[in-house]
Amino acid sequence: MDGTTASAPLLRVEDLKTHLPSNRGPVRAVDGVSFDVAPGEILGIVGESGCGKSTLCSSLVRLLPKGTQVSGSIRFRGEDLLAKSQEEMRALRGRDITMIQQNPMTALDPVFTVGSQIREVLKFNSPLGARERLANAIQILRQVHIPSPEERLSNYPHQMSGGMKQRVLAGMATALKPGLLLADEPTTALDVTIQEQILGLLAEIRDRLGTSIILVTHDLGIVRRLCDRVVIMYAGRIVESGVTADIFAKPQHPYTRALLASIPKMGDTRDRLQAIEGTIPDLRDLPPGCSFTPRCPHAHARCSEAYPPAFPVGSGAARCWLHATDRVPETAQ
Amino acid sequence: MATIPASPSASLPRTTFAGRLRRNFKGLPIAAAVMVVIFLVAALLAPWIAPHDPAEASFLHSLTPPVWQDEGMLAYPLGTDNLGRDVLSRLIYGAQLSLLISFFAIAIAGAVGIILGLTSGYIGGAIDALIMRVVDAFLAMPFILMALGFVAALGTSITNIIIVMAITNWARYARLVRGEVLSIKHRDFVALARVAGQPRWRIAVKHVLPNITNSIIILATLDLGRVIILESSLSFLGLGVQPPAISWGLMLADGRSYMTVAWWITVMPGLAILLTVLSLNVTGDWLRDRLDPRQQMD
Amino acid sequence: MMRYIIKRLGQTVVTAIFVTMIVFGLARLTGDPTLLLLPTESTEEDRQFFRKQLGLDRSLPEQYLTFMGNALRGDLGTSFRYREPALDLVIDRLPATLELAVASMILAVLIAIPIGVLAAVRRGSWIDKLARWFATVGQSTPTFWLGLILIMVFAVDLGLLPSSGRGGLSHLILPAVTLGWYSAAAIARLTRSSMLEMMQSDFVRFERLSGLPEWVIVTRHALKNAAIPIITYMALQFGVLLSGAVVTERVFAWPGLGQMVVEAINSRDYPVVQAAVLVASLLFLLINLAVDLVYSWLDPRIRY
Repeated sequence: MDGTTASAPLLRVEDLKTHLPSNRGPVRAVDGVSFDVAPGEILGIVGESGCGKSTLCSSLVRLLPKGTQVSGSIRFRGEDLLAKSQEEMRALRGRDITMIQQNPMTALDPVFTVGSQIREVLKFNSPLGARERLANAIQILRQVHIPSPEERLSNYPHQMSGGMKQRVLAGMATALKPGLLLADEPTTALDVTIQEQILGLLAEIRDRLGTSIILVTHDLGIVRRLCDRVVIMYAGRIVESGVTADIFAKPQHPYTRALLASIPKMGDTRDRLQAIEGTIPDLRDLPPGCSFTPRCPHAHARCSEAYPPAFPVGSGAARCWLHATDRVPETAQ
Repeated sequence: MATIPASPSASLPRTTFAGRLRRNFKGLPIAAAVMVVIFLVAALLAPWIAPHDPAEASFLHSLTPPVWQDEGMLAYPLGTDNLGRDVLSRLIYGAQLSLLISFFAIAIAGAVGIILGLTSGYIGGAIDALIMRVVDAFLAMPFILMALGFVAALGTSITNIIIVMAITNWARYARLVRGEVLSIKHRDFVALARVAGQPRWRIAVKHVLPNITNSIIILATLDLGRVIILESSLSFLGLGVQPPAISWGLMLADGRSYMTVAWWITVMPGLAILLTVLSLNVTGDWLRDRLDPRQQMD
Repeated sequence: MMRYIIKRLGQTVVTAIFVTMIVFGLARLTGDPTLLLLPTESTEEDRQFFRKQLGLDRSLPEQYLTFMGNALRGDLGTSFRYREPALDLVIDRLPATLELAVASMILAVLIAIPIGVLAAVRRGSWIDKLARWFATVGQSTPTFWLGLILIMVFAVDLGLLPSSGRGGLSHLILPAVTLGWYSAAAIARLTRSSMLEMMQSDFVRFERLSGLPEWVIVTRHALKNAAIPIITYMALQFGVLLSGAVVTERVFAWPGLGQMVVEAINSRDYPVVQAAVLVASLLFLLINLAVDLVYSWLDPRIRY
């Protein structure tokens, strides 16, 4: 299993597979993913566009397009989410498991005030009365550091900036102290200066509420700043996992190494950015072996035969034949 | 997990003729296309297809019901009207007139609309504002009332009817073309042409026009149906095509007095209009889905 | 928002002026009215005299200004046939047409919006297919033929409803269904596509993520957002209704504006025709302006 935690995990995902429907056959967006999230932990999920990280989030809340096939298990506080009905999932959403995405500009209904939308979420997720909901709404805005919250309640979304809206959304997502917050690229659409505010807010949420956060991103800098543990995804599978510091110091999977190498660093005197050769494979048409093989500088015969299982390395695991316990790795770094 | 063998890619053959045909006509609504073809064939080959002379009256056989009812006759498959004229033949000749009028009306409306729309969109400024207000004025006038107004002024010869149909329709083309031009105007290939020193009218005709033909074709197809209904409405009111010319709308007006005794004189021409317009609309929708994904219904 | 209102007002006024020009052009196109006003034995001299009286010997722009001046004072010419002011005759008949148009619109909306919403929410189901079929066929049906068929079935064969004339509710049903049919189809189609678009939007997704029940999302959020283009479209449909009213009134002998226009054309009573066209067009412009203003109030993005 990739990335296990010692004590009882808040979330345990085992061999999750999500195949999306398409004209030319199912897209294996998530193809056998397993990981844990501990209470109060911030887990980063890193990968390129198209690696399946967003589909993974959608699978966790079970908001997938019609015709999607899902298998495996998702245990949240011990209960398998895949066994629940949509009505049961709806009760969980917004209250115990919440999510914010990368679209603060469009995530709010433009014809309702911000205040009415916050109170609506409270109405359908808690037994609070109308007056309490109003008080709560003001409190939420205060907690996400929005000045003059009473006035902001009667603002319409277009009257707020992107950063402010993202804070409102984060407030709505944490109003009822959820156990798990999914943040799917929450800062991608924002200015760098605002990014920092949102990331700080996320850290604060974890510290103050004890909420676990799954932070999906393609930005390794954010991961380093915020995440306790990291999971690297490629073509629908987790290829490496571990504690953040270790991953950055001693990456074990060739893909992870390539990702880290492609970050331009201060003092770098090369005049070309280092990119990874090749492109991600077609998720409808995956080869039998390790999907990174065509782009891997260390590929050998075994790589095309079968997908490597997760070999424990350091604090985590890596799915690479180089770390097979039955042979000495060729290049130990 | 068991290894899944790589599936052979099931792609359409791209280079064979059959493959190209299949791709271009994907999802073509067969029934609608067949109906359109029938309409065109009837319209173009009327004199050779119609079983009878549409003007040939026969008091002996007046008010004959369609062939499937008792007293129906095979010679008159869809029955005859009050003057004993064969309904089927009159439908076929009616198709000819409908096609003639609507085709030319749209051709004229389209030409005028395209020129004004191109000018308005490309030149912009005061001219654009002016033309657009005129377009708005024409679009503000309920089209049948406007058509009636012009018929009152010009009279009901076939040419005048075509002109009236064109007058009531050009505004939609102008507005469409202008919208398209505005969205293309700032694209790179236009800028390149200007940098290369080409005069504005040439850029408009050579570069912009080919890119908007798709939208125009879609509008024209959908418009054909609209004009057919408009012309039938006018003829029904007695203010369109005049006898002895044959129009579906006229047939309906004639049949009205005999509605209680001869339902087919009323139902048949209406069905003809309905089926023709329906097939044109369905074809137009299909064209829109194929040619212009932006405008898709869903 | 004030700027928007002023801009729209300005546009409407300019468009209205162009409409009057078109109607004026129509009037001049109908030819020499003296041929109709004066008895056939009158001489060219008499006609010249009358032309001078009517101001027809002046230049076109002058005539237009006179026409406009008169129009603004409510004088749209005198009916050749009835010898009464054309405007009065038009205003007299207007309520009947409005009654028909409003009834048709209400009927159309009551049918179309639920169908459109259901079709969007249950995409791919039988109700979706039915809605799409209805939308396409409905927009291909000639109004006058539908009216005749309805008369044949309901008035003649079944004897349930009257086939002509204006009276109580029973007289209104068949004409309203006939006239509203096309608009119902068009509005259903737009409702469906508008709702589909809304159901795909980001804010709907976030509302699902927030655990809101589906019915709240559909009726409170998606529908309210979709309502904006739908209402604008309804205003446009009013023009279609005014057009369709002409043939519908003819079929059902409904004593409205449309009937009057047809009779006027047949009796060469051009002032009435022009007055009717002018009034109908201006009415349509006004309704669109009103709806635009309402719409800008509905959509907070424009209001603030």
